[in-house]
Amino acid sequence: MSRIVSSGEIRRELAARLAGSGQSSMQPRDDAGLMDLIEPGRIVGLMGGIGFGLTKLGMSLLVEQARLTPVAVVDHRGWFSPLAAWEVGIDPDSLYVVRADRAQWPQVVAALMSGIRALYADVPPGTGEQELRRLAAIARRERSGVVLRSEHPIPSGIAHWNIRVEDLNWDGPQRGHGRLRNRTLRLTVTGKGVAGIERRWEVSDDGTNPVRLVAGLAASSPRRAIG
Amino acid sequence: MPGMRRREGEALCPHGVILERDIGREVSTFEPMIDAIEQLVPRVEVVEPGLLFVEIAGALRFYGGERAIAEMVLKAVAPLTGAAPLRVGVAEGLFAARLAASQAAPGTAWFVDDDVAFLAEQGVGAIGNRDLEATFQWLGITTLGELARIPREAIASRFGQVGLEAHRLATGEDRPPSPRQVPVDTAVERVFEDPLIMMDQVGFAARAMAAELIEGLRRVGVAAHRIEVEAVTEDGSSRHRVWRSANPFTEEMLADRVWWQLRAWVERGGVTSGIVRLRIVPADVSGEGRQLGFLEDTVAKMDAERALARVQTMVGPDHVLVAVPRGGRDPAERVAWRRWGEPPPSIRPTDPWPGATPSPSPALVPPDPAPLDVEWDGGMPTRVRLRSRWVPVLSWAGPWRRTGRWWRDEETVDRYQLVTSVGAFLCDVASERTLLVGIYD
Repeated sequence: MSRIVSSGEIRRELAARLAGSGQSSMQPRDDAGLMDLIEPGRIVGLMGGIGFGLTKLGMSLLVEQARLTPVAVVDHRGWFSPLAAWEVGIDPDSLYVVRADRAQWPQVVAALMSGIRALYADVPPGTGEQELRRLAAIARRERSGVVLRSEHPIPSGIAHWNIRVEDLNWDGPQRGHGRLRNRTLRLTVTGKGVAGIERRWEVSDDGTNPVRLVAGLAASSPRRAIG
Repeated sequence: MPGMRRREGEALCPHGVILERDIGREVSTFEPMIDAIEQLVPRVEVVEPGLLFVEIAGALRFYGGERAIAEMVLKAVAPLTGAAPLRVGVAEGLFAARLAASQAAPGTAWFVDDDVAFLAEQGVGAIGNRDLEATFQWLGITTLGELARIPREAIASRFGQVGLEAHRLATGEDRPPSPRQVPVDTAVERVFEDPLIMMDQVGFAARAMAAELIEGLRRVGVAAHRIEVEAVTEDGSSRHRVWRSANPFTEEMLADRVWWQLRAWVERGGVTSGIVRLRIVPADVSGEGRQLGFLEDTVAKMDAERALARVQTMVGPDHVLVAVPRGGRDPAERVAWRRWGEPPPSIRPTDPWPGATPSPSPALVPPDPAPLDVEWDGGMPTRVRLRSRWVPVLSWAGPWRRTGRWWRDEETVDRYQLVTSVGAFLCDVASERTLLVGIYD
């Protein structure tokens, strides 16, 4: 029986086949919602401390774009390791890493946005709101999809999706035995991307695949009514 | 005024009329001048409206020298140029000829006897890259001669590909398109049973043919720096024109140029009846147009490279990097960094590495292992100090004993994976010191 499939499904299917990932069925993947967050001219804000898994999550957001065009990472610490990006499926030839200090960071991100269609930028501490708003305007103008990762809250109105880590769990190690295997992140998502309604997502990272959005596992946020 | 914002212009001259730039119209206006020059010397190559190159080597003997050719060209074009007389530059290379033309007085020609000596006196601004010019000025390099005296390796090391291009221009070696034999016929031709009489039809045909040509070139791993547009009309007359570009033609650039050219022919009477055949022939193809993957977007790749070249001038080539996987046990060992633009090293990452840290890999790896405060109780980690606060260790894996390379005086270390409520860390413990090797971010 034939069915109508979207162009996004076809693209993902084709990319998966070419990448030899063995995904040959046309069934929608449960990570599709996460992959499609990167859109031209829009910013995804990832907020959480170092260690919360946001670098890996950010790389997972870039995977789809990296199959089509080069992607870049702006690293102000000089600590970024591409191993995590390769593990989620980004081809080494499609990933560029630019190391820029705090002073150069805004100019470097702006310059990259003029030609790179998907970008992951780690926001250095002390970056002002005006600088971020200016970069958001440039991203809109250049139609560049940007993932801004920050340890501090990103001011409202900048990111289309604001993703904040609420909780982190690791499976695997037990008092010396085993090893790190699977990480589960519970995220709160706000912003225009979710029509202003706060959502809770749960994502799973098994280390060797893009971080997956686990459908239906996270409870929706309790809402209050005023009567 | 070039560079003036519209708002400024409106403030200075409120009653001024703002006209949008119409490049097609400019090409159309330029067309009679091209025709006039082509009557004297064939094979004119148009770069943009107002700028064209003419190869005169073959015409020198016929007309009796460079000066005679320049005078004839100026004389032929003078009645057509109106208030902006033609400027002619004559030199060995395209870059020098272009600069000479820009320095010639209106209605005259500037002859360059020695390209290298002429270029040496030009300012670095002649390269046309503002970021690069500012950096050169800051470094005290003000002329192309000073730039040419710097060893090319040093320029390549500091400025990468964009610096190399500038150095080539400064030394009088114009950008060589590395001519290469195209293995198959990549020319694109369309024959129209019903002659094209509407400009819109011509526009659609031009775009479709441009896409077809670029796709054909991409398949054989080349890009064109020069194209020839040929149109045959219903009455049997044919026209052709050569367009040149410093950068490889993209689909959009090509479609625009074909469209402008056809519009110019139609508006200027070069094409008097319906078009029955259109042909685009690529020339000066170069391997610099890379072999791209099936799903890759050529334009995006070129845009990305342009952006990276710009960033390279801002942060230096050591900070724009591409990583290559390689074997190793530590996360840091498994990554070979190279500067963007440099050839990739020959590494075999598939070799087995027993004892390598298992997947998942840490996403953040300090360049050198950093000291980490860990509290131990009977050989078991209990707390980790992160910045100013202590967080309890929820679980851990290890120790995995790692024997160091004794011939390099490396000591034996115990490796741990520590899990806390704020993340997991990869650590080495040696001589009662704990070092942070990676963060599972």
